[in-house]
Amino acid sequence: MIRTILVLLSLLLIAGTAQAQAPVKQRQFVYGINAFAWDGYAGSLSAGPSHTIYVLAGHPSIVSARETLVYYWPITREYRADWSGLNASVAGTLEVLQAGRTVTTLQLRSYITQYPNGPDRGPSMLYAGEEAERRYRAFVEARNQHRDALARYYEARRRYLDALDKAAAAHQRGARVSLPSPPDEPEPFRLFSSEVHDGFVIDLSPGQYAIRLRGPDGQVRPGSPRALVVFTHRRESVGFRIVPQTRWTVPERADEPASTIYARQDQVLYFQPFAAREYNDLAYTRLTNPQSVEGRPDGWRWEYVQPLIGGRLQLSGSSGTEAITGRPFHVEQTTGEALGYEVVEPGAGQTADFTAFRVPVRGHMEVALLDAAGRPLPGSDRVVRVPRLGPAWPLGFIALIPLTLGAAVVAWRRERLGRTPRPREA
Amino acid sequence: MGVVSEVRAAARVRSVWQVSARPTLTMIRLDIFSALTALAPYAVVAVATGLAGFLLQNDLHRIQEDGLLVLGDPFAVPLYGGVLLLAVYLATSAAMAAAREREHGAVELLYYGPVSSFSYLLAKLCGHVLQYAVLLVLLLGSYVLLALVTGLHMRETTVLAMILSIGPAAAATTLGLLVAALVHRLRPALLAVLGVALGAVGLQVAREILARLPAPEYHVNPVQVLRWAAFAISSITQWVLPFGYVDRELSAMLRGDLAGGLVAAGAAGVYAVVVLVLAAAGLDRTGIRR
Repeated sequence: MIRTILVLLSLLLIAGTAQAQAPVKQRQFVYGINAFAWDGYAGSLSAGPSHTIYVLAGHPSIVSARETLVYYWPITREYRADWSGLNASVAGTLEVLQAGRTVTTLQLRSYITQYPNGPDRGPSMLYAGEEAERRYRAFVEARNQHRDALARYYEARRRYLDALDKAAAAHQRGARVSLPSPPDEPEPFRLFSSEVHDGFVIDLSPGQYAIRLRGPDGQVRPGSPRALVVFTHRRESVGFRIVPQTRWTVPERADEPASTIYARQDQVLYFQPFAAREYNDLAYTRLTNPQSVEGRPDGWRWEYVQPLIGGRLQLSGSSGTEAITGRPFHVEQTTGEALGYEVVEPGAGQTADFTAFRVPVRGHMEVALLDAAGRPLPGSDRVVRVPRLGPAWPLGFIALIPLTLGAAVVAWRRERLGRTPRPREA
Repeated sequence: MGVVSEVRAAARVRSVWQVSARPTLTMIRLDIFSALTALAPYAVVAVATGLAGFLLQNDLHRIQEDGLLVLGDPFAVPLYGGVLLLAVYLATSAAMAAAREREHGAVELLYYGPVSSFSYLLAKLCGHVLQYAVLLVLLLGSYVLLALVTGLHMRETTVLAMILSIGPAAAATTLGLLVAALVHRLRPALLAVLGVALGAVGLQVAREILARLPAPEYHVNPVQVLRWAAFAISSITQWVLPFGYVDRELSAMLRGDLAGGLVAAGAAGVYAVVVLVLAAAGLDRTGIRR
């Protein structure tokens, strides 16, 4: 009995050890990728087994040759890098080939990526070479200045609060006091910058390429060849994110230029226009993650390039034509147990949750975004329609019309041919 | 001896390929009359209209519930379903008509007159294409009524796509005729056409579903093998079978690509001609007798 218990215990211990095993790491040559995407540079990894690398044409992207520890992470089914364990730059030149012929040879360059409005907010910029060094020094200097300004502000605020306490105490004693004015808080420091790294700047025309790293010894580095796809957009348009008043968290998108917007009468819609470009679904998905299993090779998707809230929106309907401007709006959750939102204009001290054109639906309307000169932007015109939301039975009735017509034709034929259905023989 | 064989060869060529206008036109007229005075084509249009009504009602329900719905073309899916249904009906109807006439000995009787295999099949093709045109007008009328009742917009490209679908419909008809030419009996011919049609549509549906499943670039799993097989087979069947032409023509037209739609309709026309010639040769080889 005791032996059995000991065996079971040891089995349990072994099982526990197996579960706690760390993934097996393998030292590998990899490419670190910083690919330009419209919502910021997307960092990803191309490890073995080699995946195709996708980058956008017309925008510089970075490919960095590195040696690191690679492991397979079964939860996300991806190969990952343990950069903290090993992150060694690999020297050499990057050869770009097309149809077996070398198109260009790239040298290692220093680079940084910066986000002027902060990460995940607005455009991202890539600087390479001396410009990268200069921009990084300027960033560090600005950050230090902001840190000093913050320190001065906190000191001034501490003095202000002390003075406020003293004034309150004096007021309680009955003395006439004048309140000190609060110090001004420095503007938030939004600029974000990566550190200076080195990599190969890829900026090629659309096409299928191959890349490989040639070391200082003139040999192609084993494990470095990769397929490279440089792609561009198929169409350009103005896309609209449309926020219904009743469900502002679940907006609809009207990106296709020929799409029609159907809405209930008297519904209030908030239009947010964007410059949009249409890309291959698989290519754009793997741009941000070469190991992704998503994306359709025969599918297309619209990506928003930049907001166009600065213009005016022209509304044409039965009541005439008017041009409206975009305004900030604040969302308030309705009180009580019932769920719901109310979109209002922000009051004093309230922050705006989004900026949009407010469009109350009043029957059939045509909308178009106007540029600074008052001309409609190409691809921005959409039609808003109000369908008839009646009972379903008339639709079933319409389906019976062809059948009735057929029955009438059959009856006419029988009558014309003088035939009647023969009685069944017993 | 040489003269006799030449005369025989010429007679054989005439019996297969010669087209006489009057008998062909008479056969077309009779075919249209018998087809349009039956209930079946109207029932197919009714089913297509019912399907459209169901799909549009679904859109209206979403607008009612959510207050907002953005649609490229509300009639795109109903049109795709309707044209596919009509194409399958035409292929089946053509196969049934030719196989039945052959089984009843009517084809053999026709051949005692100035009717060749090709002119017989050409008459069948023209009769079915004209029948399709009439059914298309009926379907268009039903769609217009649906658009008026629902307030959902039917775009001009929908009408153009319907007109250009005559090409794929002709291709579907010739497939039915080819099957009837190769298979003697009515029931096997009917089952073969229905099997091919359902197989092609099923393969297309499977391809769409499998294309949406995640697929890593370098890991091979059963789903990926299935997906690859579906893509490979459908890349062949979409050219060999007429239903792929329906898909290509409607997809191009509904995204506003008129040139692409015309090319797809033209390719379907070429397919119809090639398959018609093959059907005539097949009918000659298998014989006209029951």
